[in-house]
Amino acid sequence: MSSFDIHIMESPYVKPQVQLKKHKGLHDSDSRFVEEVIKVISSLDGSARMKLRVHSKFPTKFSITLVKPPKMTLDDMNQIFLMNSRIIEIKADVEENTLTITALKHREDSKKKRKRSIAYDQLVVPTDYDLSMVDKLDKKHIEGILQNILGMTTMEFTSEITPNAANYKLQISDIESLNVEYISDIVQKYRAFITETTFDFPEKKFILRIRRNDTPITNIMNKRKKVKIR
Amino acid sequence: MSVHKANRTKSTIADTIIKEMSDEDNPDMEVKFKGYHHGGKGFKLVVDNITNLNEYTTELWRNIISSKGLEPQIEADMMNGKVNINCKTIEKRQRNIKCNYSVMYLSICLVLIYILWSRHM
Repeated sequence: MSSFDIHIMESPYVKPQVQLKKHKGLHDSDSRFVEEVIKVISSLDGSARMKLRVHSKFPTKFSITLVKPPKMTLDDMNQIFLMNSRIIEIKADVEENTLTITALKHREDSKKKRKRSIAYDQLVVPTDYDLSMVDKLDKKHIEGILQNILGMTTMEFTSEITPNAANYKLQISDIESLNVEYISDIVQKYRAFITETTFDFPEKKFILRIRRNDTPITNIMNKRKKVKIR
Repeated sequence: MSVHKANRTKSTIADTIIKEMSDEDNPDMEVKFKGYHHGGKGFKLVVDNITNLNEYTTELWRNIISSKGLEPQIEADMMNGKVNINCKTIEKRQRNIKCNYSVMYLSICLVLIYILWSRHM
């Protein structure tokens, strides 16, 4: 495993300049992907202290681990997915402050496509969960979102809900690594309610903004549809 | 406002298991308590800095955990060089209530048949 320090000038006007020495175990296209990922993440505020670890020992797959990444949204994560079709999974560990991207290595002969991640169970919200701050109108969808997050991990986690005038801020901490593709599925499933998804690595929190049922829908987070050009 | 607060304090069983898991083959090994499963159905331990993982070591760990009345699930994550150990509480087998009810109804029927038969005689 090799590790790199990334030094970036933190200013919105400075283009991130990333130069990596060619990594031994990686093909040119994979090295380019690593570089591009760092460029994208480095353009975000708070990325100055980020460090990179590349694990390329295995013949078929490699992983990039970003230590101390900046605060990222689900859209930022989806950008990474679009950059390489061979990504196996992206895991965000807000507790350990790491973002791990695992992808298949470039091979001329193989045209393997990325497998979809396994579906998780939906657990019933335990009775000791206090949802007294949630209005009756909103209980159903908030419980649904919590059920999906509970099914994603076998470990218990800390959750807090702050009610605001237009939405609820659901903050999750002390949680195992989050599978970004699964989070994306939850957001898609509850797209009429989830308005904002943030992986707040510096604060060690995963934050969801959930719309109140009595407020109008302003924007719906939608997945990009593939368009066939003939 | 808190919905649920995860418990991060090590139980005495977890503490004893961690202490007993020392291994001469892995002097740098570090066992950490990761947290509890949903509904208090056991806990998870993470073993870091492991250099030598063989059948003897895993069997030893299994015996330590089983002796505390827990069911071990050992999973090696070779990509990150760590071992995850899930210590689950052994769920008691539920009694077959449906079967017990059938036996009860059958015996009541038999008693009633016997009463009717004895009255006819």
